[in-house]
Amino acid sequence: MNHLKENNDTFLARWLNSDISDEELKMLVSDKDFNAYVKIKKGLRYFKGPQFDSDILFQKISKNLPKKEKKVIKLNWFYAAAAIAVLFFSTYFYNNYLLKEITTNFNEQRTVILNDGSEAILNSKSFISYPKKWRDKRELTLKGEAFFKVRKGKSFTVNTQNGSVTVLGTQFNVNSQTDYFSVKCFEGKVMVIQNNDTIYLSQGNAYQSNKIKVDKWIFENKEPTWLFGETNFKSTPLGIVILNLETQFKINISKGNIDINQLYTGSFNNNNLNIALKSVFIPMEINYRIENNTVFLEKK
Amino acid sequence: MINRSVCESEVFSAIYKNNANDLRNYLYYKFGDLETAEDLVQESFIKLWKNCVKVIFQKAKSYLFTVATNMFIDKKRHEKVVLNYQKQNKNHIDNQSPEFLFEEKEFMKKLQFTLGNLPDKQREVFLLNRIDNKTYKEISEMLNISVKAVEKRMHNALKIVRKEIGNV
Repeated sequence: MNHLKENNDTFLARWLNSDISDEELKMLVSDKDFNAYVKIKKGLRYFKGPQFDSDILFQKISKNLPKKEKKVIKLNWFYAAAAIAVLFFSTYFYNNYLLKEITTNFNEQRTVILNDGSEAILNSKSFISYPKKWRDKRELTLKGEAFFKVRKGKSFTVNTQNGSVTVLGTQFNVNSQTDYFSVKCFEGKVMVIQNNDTIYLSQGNAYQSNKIKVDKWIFENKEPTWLFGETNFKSTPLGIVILNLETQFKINISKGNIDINQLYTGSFNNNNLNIALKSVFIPMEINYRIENNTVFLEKK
Repeated sequence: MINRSVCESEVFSAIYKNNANDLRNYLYYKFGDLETAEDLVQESFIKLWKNCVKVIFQKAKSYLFTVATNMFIDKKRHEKVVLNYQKQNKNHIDNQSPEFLFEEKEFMKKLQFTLGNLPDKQREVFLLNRIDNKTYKEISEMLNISVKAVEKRMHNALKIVRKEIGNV
């Protein structure tokens, strides 16, 4: 406990940061204060920052930027030689350090062999970017969902807008959407960092978080079900399930009066829209009808 | 990107993409006024462009935050920070009583009010961490203060919130 006393004026900061556990905090403050702190920490999760369209502001700024004067340089042989050298080195630079980007479309899956021989299988409507050549560490960016089979070697990190996943040679699945993040470990061990929390997952363990709650559970399949044409969910907000239906089948879903925060557990078939709609909406007691390319939902 | 000049429009727009949101939220948490925050973001980036020869890529971020903060000193704060919050999910198995729901609603309202009333220095740090998920280290770099100072402000902010909110 000594290390806590020495930092008497920061222990709440360290508790917010999960450096100090709830049990340790309990010893430092009264029960009443402890309960209040926990409630405040939880309540804060529901607050949102202001919305912002940064593109519009950028257009405004671009218009107001003063023009730069162009310097005129007289060409001589020295500059020409220098230019050729720069061209040569930038081609080298381009080949080695520039990013490769791969995007999948609706209902498309794609296997990507990374430059160290690791494999990434991208699910539909997903995006991955990685340097042509890795140097010190293996690192890539993912939007959407992918299953990774990682070769043994230096640490391998998948960065997403929701958090990062780090491993040393293993197989795992990452699904990162707006307000939804899930990681499943199929082999070996992975480390997930989200916000300020670090979570370790070993084989057969899964983790998921959305705006509302965080879950951990154990599963049995050897590979993600979406590889075999099935998408499955475990207590996932219906809004996320609907988003997945939309990207899988390239349809619009009009949510009507249904509650998109109710939780869904189950799976749908990736190849047949009718069967998929049935398997999601019948158990949730939601009526649906299809018109053109739009599915309209209504509470029963 | 690291060795390239801020004067290149591609580099400049990458710096914008990476920092505009953080800078604007920071100014809002400090200021309480969205319009002024966006104006200051605009002015800071124009200033960065004008001085792009002098500012190296790695220093662009701290330059932006410093410039914006200095410009801010000239302006007066005139509004309270009011953050929106979403309703908590009431779809759990246990049936919560109307009294409970009412108390919960009152609590969130109080919390919203208290956040707006925090002293400026505590509020900006507290909201950057809790709402924008910035780490203490990131905040210390943005504000050009030590991590320890960030921790002290976080600690005091939570203490004040707890005091203001009373019995829960």
